[in-house]
Amino acid sequence: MTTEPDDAALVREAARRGLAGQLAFETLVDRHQQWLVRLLTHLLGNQSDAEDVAQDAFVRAFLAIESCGDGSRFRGWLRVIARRLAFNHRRDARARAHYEEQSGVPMPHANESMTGRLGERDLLKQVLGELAYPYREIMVLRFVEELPLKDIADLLEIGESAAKMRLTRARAEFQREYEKRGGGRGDTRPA
Amino acid sequence: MVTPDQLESDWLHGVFEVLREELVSLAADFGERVKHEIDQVAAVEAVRPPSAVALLASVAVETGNMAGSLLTPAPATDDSTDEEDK
Repeated sequence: MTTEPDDAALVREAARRGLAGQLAFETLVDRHQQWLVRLLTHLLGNQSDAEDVAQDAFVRAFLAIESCGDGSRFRGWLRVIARRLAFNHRRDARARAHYEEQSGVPMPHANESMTGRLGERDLLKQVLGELAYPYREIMVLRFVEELPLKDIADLLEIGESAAKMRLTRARAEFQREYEKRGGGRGDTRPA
Repeated sequence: MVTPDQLESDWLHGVFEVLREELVSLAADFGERVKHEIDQVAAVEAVRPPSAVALLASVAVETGNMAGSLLTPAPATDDSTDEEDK
């Protein structure tokens, strides 16, 4: 029986470059694509953009793999890259939307839903998607990615107290909207 | 003791569970697209080892050298003697 190499081993191999390095990196792609696209879908609001940004993130990670350092933290390192790219992507998309709005070009509303349970999930996504971006981002990092506050602060490049304040506000905003639209605590909580 | 803050977080963790457990149905060719892109970048950025190109180049040089040595007339014995004398 063969055991799968862990991320640290794959990152080391990838950093050695060559065909073997490329194959090692491709294993990392297989291993991390699911959560990365999911994270980006929640941040960007649609899966198509999320896949584009995820692809970009993987390519950049591949080119800079030597700077990953501790390979066992590959996921966190990739998350930092993806988060920056998502931010830029969103900024560019907003600029495009603004231009299209100015020039009267109708914009398609991109909001693909992912497969699975409807209802509560859709409401959750809707409310999340309508939060101001910094609030949405911190909610996703805290409650979907389940990162501790310290890691969130590092990722967002802000102090821990600033992260806590942002999270408190985001939570309040989310809760207000969620409950206003019928999402509740008792009966909506998954069993 | 559980703080109200903690209760809020617990509640939200419960609500968000559906998103944490969600499996994104990736485009069928997503992984292949990423790998293709990486392959292209690896070739362009020369992050791949000297591999095929360098191997062919070195073979060409060697072949050239061999052909050259076969076609070039043998050096005059005087010269070689001089070299050896030195």
